[in-house]
Amino acid sequence: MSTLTEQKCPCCGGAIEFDVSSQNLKCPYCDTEFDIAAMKQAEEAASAAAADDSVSWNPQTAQWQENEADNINVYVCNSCGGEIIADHATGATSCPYCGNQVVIKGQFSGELRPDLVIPFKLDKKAAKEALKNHIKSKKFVPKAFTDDNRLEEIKGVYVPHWLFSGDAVANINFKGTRTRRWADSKNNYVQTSYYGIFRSGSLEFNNIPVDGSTKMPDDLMESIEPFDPDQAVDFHTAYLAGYLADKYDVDVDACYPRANERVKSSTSDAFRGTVQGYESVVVDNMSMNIANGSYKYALYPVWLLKSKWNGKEYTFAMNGQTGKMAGDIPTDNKAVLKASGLVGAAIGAVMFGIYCLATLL
Amino acid sequence: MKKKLFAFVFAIILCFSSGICAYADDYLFEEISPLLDGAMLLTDSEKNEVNNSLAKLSEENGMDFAVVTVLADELGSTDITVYADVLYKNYYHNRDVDGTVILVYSHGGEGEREICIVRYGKAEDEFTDGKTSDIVDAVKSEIISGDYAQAFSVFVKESDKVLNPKISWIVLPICLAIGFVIAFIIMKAIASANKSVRNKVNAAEYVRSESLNVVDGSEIYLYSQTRAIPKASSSNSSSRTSGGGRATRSGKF
Repeated sequence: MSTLTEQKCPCCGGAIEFDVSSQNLKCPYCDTEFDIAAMKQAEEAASAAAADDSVSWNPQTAQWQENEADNINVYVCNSCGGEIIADHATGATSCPYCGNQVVIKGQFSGELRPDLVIPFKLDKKAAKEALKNHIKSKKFVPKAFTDDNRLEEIKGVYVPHWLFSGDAVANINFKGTRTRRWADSKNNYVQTSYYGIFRSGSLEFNNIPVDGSTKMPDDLMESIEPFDPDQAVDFHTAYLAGYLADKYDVDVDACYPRANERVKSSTSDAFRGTVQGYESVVVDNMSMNIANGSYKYALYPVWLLKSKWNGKEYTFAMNGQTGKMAGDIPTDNKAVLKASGLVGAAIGAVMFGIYCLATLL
Repeated sequence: MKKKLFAFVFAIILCFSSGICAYADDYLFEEISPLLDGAMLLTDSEKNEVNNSLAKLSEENGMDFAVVTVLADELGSTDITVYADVLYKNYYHNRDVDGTVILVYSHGGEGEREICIVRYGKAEDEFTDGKTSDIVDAVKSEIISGDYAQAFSVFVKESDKVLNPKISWIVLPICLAIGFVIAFIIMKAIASANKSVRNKVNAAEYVRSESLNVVDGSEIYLYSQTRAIPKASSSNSSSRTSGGGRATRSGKF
């Protein structure tokens, strides 16, 4: 089992959290703020002077079936002694008894240590407001769904991502057409000329993110892109304070195909843009390889909001850096039909009016 | 025999219309039936039916309507509009009506037939070139199929439609149904915005700007394909007659 770490306030001993507005650690009890760098130095000094870690391990008393316990880890909260049960990928969570935010140290150390983290720039209040605006901006949403009370869960999560960079070197064959038209007294003529077009070259990509967690739907994570990796900082567990986090459980090898697919599509579009003077251009065949490829492991901030309506659960995600919101909203089909009827009647009346005018004039 | 009689009568009419009589412009012959079937295309019962329908159309609308058929051989080099002008001058000019519409059909073999509709007076305003061209086309299709009685019946019906346009109320539910379908498609497109979760197609946001480097490129001509699409054109033409009417003719068919 791994050890747990908690960020404790040196002044009052309370559990400190990462504050979005100031981008520092802040104690919610005594309002003292601490710079991340200063906290790092303090921790290093404390660990050099400290005696042995006080780690207590509870023996497992229950009898698990074969493979049942493989993905379950049990930890003890240092604040209240309560048991925290988390799966193998959980990196940061909260104690279900005292609400204390904890970071599971071993999940983000050694080879599992992320290269980068983008700290949260927007807080829970902003997430709620964004969800409200997201629903408000949509049409034909059932009235009951817009009720705030139906928001069942809202949590800030650092989602593991693999970031791919490299040069796409491609050879592409296109087929293009040009059309000429003319007429004589009897016929109209259309002549279509076909051309073979070849392009070869390279295109650079930086930090294409691919979701490294099986818990997060890939399409939901891609819907809230882009993240700005220029605002990423070197990883430190202090940034996780107050938020949930998972380590990756999808290996980088499993994420390559998705990155390659997106690179191929963008490369084809970019070279297609260099073909001018044709009425239609389609890709005939394409070969591509990646040069100077590299990858990094990063944690990206995401606010997850869950709502329930009509027995169905709806999940929304907000980009914790940019505020972009995504999530499917139910459609009130009766409202669609009603609007179609009203607008359809108006369109029909206009068409009939035009018919009457054309007939009478 | 009947053909010879018609030719004789027509020759007399032509003589009078040439200006020999000083008062030709104001002199009206006795009234003739609205249908003059010189080409003998209709049976007696068909003639009665066409006559009655033309008379009814004329009475209801305060205009004169006439149908004249003539053999192309008889017509010879004479322009088809001359027939109409002569009839108008001698039978319909100065009558107490709002206008006159005369359909002349020159009957012959394929490539020798021709239809001409001439309008006089206020009939020119009601029967525009476009509307008259449509009537010519409708009559032409019946003549091509060989049903002459139906062709002249179509002339009567279409002329009545021009003067007394009727709104078909069955069009209203059709318009409403089409309107509903269009509106439903639009509303569904608006509602589709409620689904905002989708995979990214590409990585355009992660392309380093100005990093596209094209090292080689070529464009080669392969082949061409040419299609000829026949023009759909109407051979109808409209012009002013020497007698002051407005004629729309089909051209030889």
